Amino acid sequence: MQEIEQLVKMANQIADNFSFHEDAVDRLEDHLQRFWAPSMRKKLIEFLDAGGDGLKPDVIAAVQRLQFP
Amino acid sequence: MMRKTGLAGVILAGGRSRRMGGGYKALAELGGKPLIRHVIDRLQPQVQSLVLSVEIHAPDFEVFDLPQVEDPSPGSHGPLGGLLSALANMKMGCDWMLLAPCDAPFLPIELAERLLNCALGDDQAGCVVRYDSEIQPTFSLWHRRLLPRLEEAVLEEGMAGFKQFLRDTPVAILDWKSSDPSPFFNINDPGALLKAARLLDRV
Repeated sequence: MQEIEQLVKMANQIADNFSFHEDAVDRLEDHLQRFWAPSMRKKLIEFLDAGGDGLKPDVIAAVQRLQFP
Repeated sequence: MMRKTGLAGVILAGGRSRRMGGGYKALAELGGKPLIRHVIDRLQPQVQSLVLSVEIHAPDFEVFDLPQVEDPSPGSHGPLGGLLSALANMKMGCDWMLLAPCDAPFLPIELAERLLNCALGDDQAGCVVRYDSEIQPTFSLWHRRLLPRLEEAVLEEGMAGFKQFLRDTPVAILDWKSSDPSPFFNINDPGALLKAARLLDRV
């Protein structure tokens, strides 16, 4: 499996875990900042820039807020 | 591979993980299936029966079609509590319980056999893996006759971790030769999950 596929699945799955919170996108952004390595965040940002196929809306919203590490 | 008679297994499936986004770590997806499915697939051929150790019954785990064994009483008793419940509920006809964590997708398929041989060889009621000079108490094998000692430790003395338990309970130590990737590689954070996905493409 492509590495990016695994990252997309991980991000989507975490978004699912947070989805019942009103501030799901905030939580997701915070999670990505705190627990994901910069290189992993970078790949997700680049993937979104390239179209971000398969990313859930909450993930897209959170990744858009991430600064390029 | 021969299915061992008289040997049961338990997977410590309990915990939610903040570092993994607050969900059950066991359900984090790896290579198209939940992390714990990798562990189940590797353990099932090694034991006669397999159960999941959970804090409280988890509907999310029903999909694996395995009995769930709850912690001895409310509140977390750690991995020792999980082992205690599993031993207390072990099927008749089984004398040994193989213990494994839910987050080690590469665990050895000959784990049970080697632990059992080591325990029998040293005539001990428990056997624990040692890898790279580190004791790995959640990769271990335990005899039914340790149940009273475990009950005492967990329910009366309030022990939760293996370190303390191993201090006054003699066990056999199975030294496992290093290899790359480690067969005991476990997943504690998103970086490790990604690394495991890379390794899966390779192993």
